[in-house]
Order: sequence, then C-alpha cells, then structure tokens
Amino acid sequence: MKIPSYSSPGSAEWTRRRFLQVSFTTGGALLVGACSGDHGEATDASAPVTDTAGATAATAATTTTTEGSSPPATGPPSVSDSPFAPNLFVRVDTDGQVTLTVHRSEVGQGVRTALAMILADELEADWESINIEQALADVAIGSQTTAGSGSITDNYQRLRQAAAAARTILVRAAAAQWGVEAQTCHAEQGHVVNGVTDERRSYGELVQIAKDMPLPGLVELKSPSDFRLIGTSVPRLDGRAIVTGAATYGLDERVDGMLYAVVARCPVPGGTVVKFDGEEAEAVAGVKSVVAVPSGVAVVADNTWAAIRGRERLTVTWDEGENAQWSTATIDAALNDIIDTSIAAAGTATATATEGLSIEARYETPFAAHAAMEPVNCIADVRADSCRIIAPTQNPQDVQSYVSDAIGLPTEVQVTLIGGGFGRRLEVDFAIEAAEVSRAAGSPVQVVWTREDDFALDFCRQPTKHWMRAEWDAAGTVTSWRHYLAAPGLNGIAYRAGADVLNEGLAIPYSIERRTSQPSLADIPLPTGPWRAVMAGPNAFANECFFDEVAAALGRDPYELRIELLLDGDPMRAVLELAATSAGWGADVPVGSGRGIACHEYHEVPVAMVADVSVDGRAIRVDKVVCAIDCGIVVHPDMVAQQIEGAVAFALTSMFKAQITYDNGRVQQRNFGDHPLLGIGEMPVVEVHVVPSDGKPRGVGEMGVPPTVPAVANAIFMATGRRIRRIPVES
Amino acid sequence: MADVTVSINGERRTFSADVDMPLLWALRDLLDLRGTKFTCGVGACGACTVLVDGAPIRSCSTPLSSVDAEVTTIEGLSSDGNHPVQQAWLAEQVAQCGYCQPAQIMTAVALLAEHPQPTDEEIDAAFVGVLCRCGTYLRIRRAVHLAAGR
Repeated sequence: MKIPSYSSPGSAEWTRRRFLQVSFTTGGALLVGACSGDHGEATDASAPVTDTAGATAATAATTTTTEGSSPPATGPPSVSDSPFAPNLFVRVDTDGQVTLTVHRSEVGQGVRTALAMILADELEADWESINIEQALADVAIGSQTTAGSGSITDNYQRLRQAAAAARTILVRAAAAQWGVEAQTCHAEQGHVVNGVTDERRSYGELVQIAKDMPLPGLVELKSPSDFRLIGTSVPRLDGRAIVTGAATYGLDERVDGMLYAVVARCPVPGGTVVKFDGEEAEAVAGVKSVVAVPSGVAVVADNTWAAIRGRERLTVTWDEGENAQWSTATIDAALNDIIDTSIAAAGTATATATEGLSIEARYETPFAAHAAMEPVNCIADVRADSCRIIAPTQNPQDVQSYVSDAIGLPTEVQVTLIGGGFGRRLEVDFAIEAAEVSRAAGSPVQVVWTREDDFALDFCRQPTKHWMRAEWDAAGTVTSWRHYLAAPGLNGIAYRAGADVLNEGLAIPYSIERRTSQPSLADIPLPTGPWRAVMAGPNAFANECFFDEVAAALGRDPYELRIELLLDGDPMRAVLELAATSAGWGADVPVGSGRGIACHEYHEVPVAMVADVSVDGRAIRVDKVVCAIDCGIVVHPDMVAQQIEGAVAFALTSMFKAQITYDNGRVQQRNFGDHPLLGIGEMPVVEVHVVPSDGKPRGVGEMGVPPTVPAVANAIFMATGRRIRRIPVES
Repeated sequence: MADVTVSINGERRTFSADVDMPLLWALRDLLDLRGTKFTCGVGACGACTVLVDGAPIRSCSTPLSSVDAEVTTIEGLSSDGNHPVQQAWLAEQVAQCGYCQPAQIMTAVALLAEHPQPTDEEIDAAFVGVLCRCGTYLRIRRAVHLAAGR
C-alpha cells in the first residue's frame, strides 16, 4: 500500500461533502451519525441494526432502472471528477483510490492504524491498497484531542457507522447498475459482488453513481464474526516509513522558504524580557534575524545549528517574575503545610485510635517531565491574511483556536506524526509561540526546542504529598481509610484545572466502611500539565502501597485482602485473579527477591500487575512484570501489549531514574545526563494477559502506568522490608 | 564556511558549511536526509546515531571536520526497506512512535557486523546509550536475534 500521506484534501470537491443525517428509528435504534461535532457514544457493538426504511427506498429506486440507463437523478448533478465522499472519513476517487481519514494524533500508540482498521473493516475496503490521510483541524470531524486513552472508545461506533454508510451506498450503486435488489449484493474487499451472477464492481467503478445517491437512513453494521481486521495485529501503517527513515515527524517537516528558529526564554517560567542585545547573534553565519516575541527572543537562521549558535551569543536581561521564589524545598514545605493543616483540621489520629489498630504513612512524588524523544517543535507560516501551523500536536483544535486568537488570523492546522506525546503535545504554548515568531520574522519558520529548552519549560506532572491512615477493629476488619492529598492543579494554557483534577484515581474501590478522600489544591503556579495517566499515577502509588501496608499490619496476603474487599461485581476481581494466577502468586519467592501486587482502574479499564524484583545490596533490579487488563473489545491485540510494555518502562523511569526539581524558579535538570531514562539493560520482562471480552472497546495507552510503581514498591518491601514512600527511589 | 565533501550512503556529497557543524545538522538541514534524528544534542541519547566506516557514532557531537570515512544513514540501508534488520524490525512490531528507531536499527546493523550471533548481554551493551521513551526494548532485543537468524 502507499506510504500514508499527510496531505490535506484541499480540493473544491472536499467542500461539497455531504453529511450524514443523525436520525433514530421510532424504536430508538441505531443512529447514522458521525459527522456532527459530537463524539458519538460507543453503544453495544454487538447489536447490528437492520436497514428497513432505507432498503425499501433503494428498492423503489432500482425497480425503475433498466440496464444501460443512467442512474436516477437525485439532487443536483455533480462534477464528473468529484469523488464519492459521503462523510469526512471515507472517500473514493474516480481513479479508484480509497482514502480513509484519521482524525486522532499518532504518538506511537497506534491510533492511525487502529482507526483505519475500524473504517476499512466496516467499509470492506482492500487493506493493502487504501490511502490514509490525517485530518486537518476541523471541528466538523468531531473531537481531535488525543488524550485520556479515549480515541477508540470515542470513535469505534461512529467510524463503523460512517464506513457502513459508505459501504451501503456502494452496494446500492452496484445494485442499481445491475438492475437488481441491493439485498442480493454484498461488499467484499473493495468490490461489490452480485450474489446471483458473481459479477464484481470495484468501488472505483461505482463512484460516478454512488456520489449522487441519497444517504441511507439506517445502516447495518457487520457482525463481529465477519471482522477481517479488527481483532488482528496488522502491521502498523507507518511501520515501513519508520524503519526506512521516511517517516516525517514534526521536526522533519519542511515548507518552502522556511527558516529555523530557537527561542531564548526566561529560565524561570513566566519571566519576561527586560532588554536584549542581538548584535553578536546576528553576526553568526546563517543567522537572519533576532526578534522579540512574547515568550522571549527568537534567533532565526537558515539552518538549525546556526540558530542554536546564534542564541548562545544572545544577551538577554530577564525580569524573572513571581515564580523565582519557588524551589523544591519551598514547594515541599508548601505541600506539607497543606497536609499538616488538613490533618489538624480533621482532628484525627488521637481520639479514636486504639493502640496497634491503625497505621499512618506519608507518600510523595516529585514533578515528572514528559521527555519525549522528539523535542517540542512547531512550524508556523503567518501571511497577511492567514496562518498555517504544522505541528506534532495532540490537540489541533485548541491550537487552531488559540493561535487564531493570538494572531488574529484564520488558522489552518496540520497534524504530523509525533515522536512521543505523553500529554506534552496537548498544550498550545509552542504553537502560539511559533506563530508569533513567524509573524515577527516575516517568514515561515520552524521553532526548534533543544532538549534543554524542553526540560526548562515542560508542563510536568505535578508534585504530590499524600497522607494515609487506616484503622481496623479487633476482628481485623478495616473500618476506616483516609487519603489526604496536596498538589497543584494543571497550570497550563489549554489545560487549567483545579482540585477536580486531583480526584483522578484518588478513591479506592475497596469496601471499607468509612473512606475519606480529601484533595487540597496547592497554589504553586509553576507550569504543570497532563502526563500519562495524570494524577492516577501518584494516587495509585499511595493507595496501592498503603493497602499493602495495611495488609501486612493485618497479617493478610495482599492479593487475598484485595479480592475480599472488592465488591462482587467489580471487574477488577477477574483481572487481579488473572494477574495473580499468571504470575504464580502464592509460590515461594527466593531470598533476595520480592513479589508485589497492585491494581488500578483507569477510565473503566481495570489493570492488575504482579512485579518481581531482585536485590543485591542497595541495588534493585525489576525482573518481571505480569499484567492483566480488561479493555473490552480489542482492535489490535499486539498494540495492547506494546502499550503496557511501554507504560511499565515509562513508570519505571519516574520510579528509579529521574525527577524534575526547582531552584529559584529554575528547573535544575538540563539534559539526559541529569535526567536519565530507563535503558535497555533495566527493562523487565513484561507479560500481558488480556481478559477476553465483547464489551465496549476501551483504551490502553495510559492504563499500565498507575499500577506499575506500587507493584514494584510492594515487591521491594517483600525483598527488603523497606517501604518505598517516595519516588524516585534513592538507591 | 568551506566546501565540505562527505561520502554518504555511497554518494559523494559536496556542500557549503562551517566545518564545525555537527554531521547531524548537515544531514538534516543541508542534505535532506532527515531519517537521522535530533533529540538531545549532547551525545547522551543515541537518537542521532549513524555509522562511520561501519561503526556507530553520535552525529550530533561529531563535527563535519572529523568525518573522514563513509557515512551510512538509515536511508542508506536499503532502497526498499528490505535490509534484514529492517525486516526483523517489522516482523517483531518493534516501533511505537518510531522516532528513535532509525538509531536503534543502525546500532543493530553495527552490532551484527561485529557479533553475528550476539547474546542478550552483548545486545544490552551495544544499545545501552540508545534511549527509547516508548519502551520498545524487549522487542529491540527480539528483533536483533531474529535478524541474527536465531
């Protein structure tokens, strides 16, 4: 198949797309939607809806058609080379090319492939010959925000509906051509087959007729037993481009006349330029200009290295602003102060506790950087009356609205392949900045962030402090559980959130009589933003480790106690059991080794992990992580495994290798030397077990993060007797 | 600025550049070879790995002036993606975002030239400085073994 293209479908025909009407039968059955701005709820995928009213209409149309006559005229005649494009997701051109449009960002999670599989399967397209286009920012296509591991959940049904509608029209078009009833024909791998004569028409041959046919009112979805692609691990669409170096990430994009820029930004977030001297910078060969922008001073050159060298010769005086007061010590003090105040206000601990029937513990996590391999970057091309952004963005619609507001021009946003997102690419800062640099420079420009820039102004996962307390009665029944949390919210541009974001993963699923979760927002305005699994990581760390502490205090097996305290219908029970069984939980663990268990449900996906570690002095080695997950219908099985493996590695970096600290408002970590990532020699074996399910398809991208750290921490306790209550673990 | 000549993927390329420019930026910005990636710029992550005379080097930290042998980049491995290491990478479904994979692949090519049947320990030693944030390490190891014919 063709290498997937990122070109925009900018032709006149594209603006003549017709949209499916959203409609319901009187029986309240299936809607044919998918082109308004709604997300489309994922309904029960196993319930096909038969097309009754629509079929009648088609039959009526075809009975008046005789062989060789022109197709029934419905609506205004179309241009002869215009494609068949009944909705924003499916297009068949007159040359026969079938193009599927993907509208979520590929950050490595495989969404381009998975969404294309859903479309292609329902359409009965020939997978080997389809073309894939990445949608420009366009609210008409629905949410393009790639976050929350929600792309398949949000789009499974609506994409199937869109593809089924296209397939239905194509079948009717062929039936009309043959003068037979549509029910006697069926779609098969890019063709419509006449069930009686075995004649075949390719979709391309049907374009002229199909594009003038009315949209169906209702469509019938495939039975899952007829899936050819969904449920199989097809090779990633971008795979060949990746291994040949042809894959084009944001940083690899080029536009005519483009210059390269790096921006000097205040080392303290939020600081501003007082004055600057660009004379020496401009003297560097290749540097074209030095321009001020709201975020700092841009050095613009005809190649990246000249821009970087030019910036080294820039002199800037900064007004560091309010954030200069923050250092890790003052941040910690502020968070601890909130916790201490909450504890005092609760008046707990002393009055009701009976000696030996309660435990308390404090947990904490630091700022965590995204550190994707592709550094932040963005292309902007600002002209007199328009702006174009080409960006590795997880959030093109917010980029479009924020940039057009900032620049005051209509803005087109093209989404590129992304070398790792993890939530950093949800923010819009780098796009606004690039537009301002382009405007100031009077040229299309690619703003490149060096690794130092990336660390200095990341929107990190926020630091957290947790206080945990549990009480039990003489019979060993846990009667009370408290989780007090202090943390900043999300302090970004597109992503700003208060205490509500702290609730993610805060409540435990265990049946304990008195459970108190108290999140308290800290007013620390350093930049923070969505990081893989957001607050579920820190909250699961505290919850699942403290649960282990409670189990130990009670002399109970932590797996058994979880099973006992989970409600009967909780799908986590089956997942825990699968993980425990697969890992051989309960077997003896050799001296010098430890085994720990943890579980967390994130966005309706229960995940359990059993981790094995071995220790040698203070050195800890994570040997193996066994994971069980229930994510409903699986579109691409191997991608589930990939995402769990990746999430384990991602979480282990935050557990053992790196953190972000501040000193006088400045991030102290400059490059990978002081912020190492997990390397190949530190990667545990990861085994993934997926609970077979025909439930609605749910996500996997973030799901492996929350249980990893507590499972490993609990294993370390078994091996060493040492409780891990903060990360990164000090060796 | 000087006229620089480098032999890349079997082709002599002559272009105008400062001889201090790291090979990485010459490849990406002057020679239209963008398969080699920029990630850290200080030789700490391996994403910029290319082969010089068959040995892996960090092109972000290698000035043009010190390049005196044949350079092989990811684009030079094959005309059609059919190099055995590329094929092994596809068979094992190694890549997630894929950004670091050209570097991983070049590292594998160099390793297999020296150690046609590497052990896991030899693989880990060769790949120690080539980071992957997506965590594809287990599959990298499997793909190296597959390419080695095991």
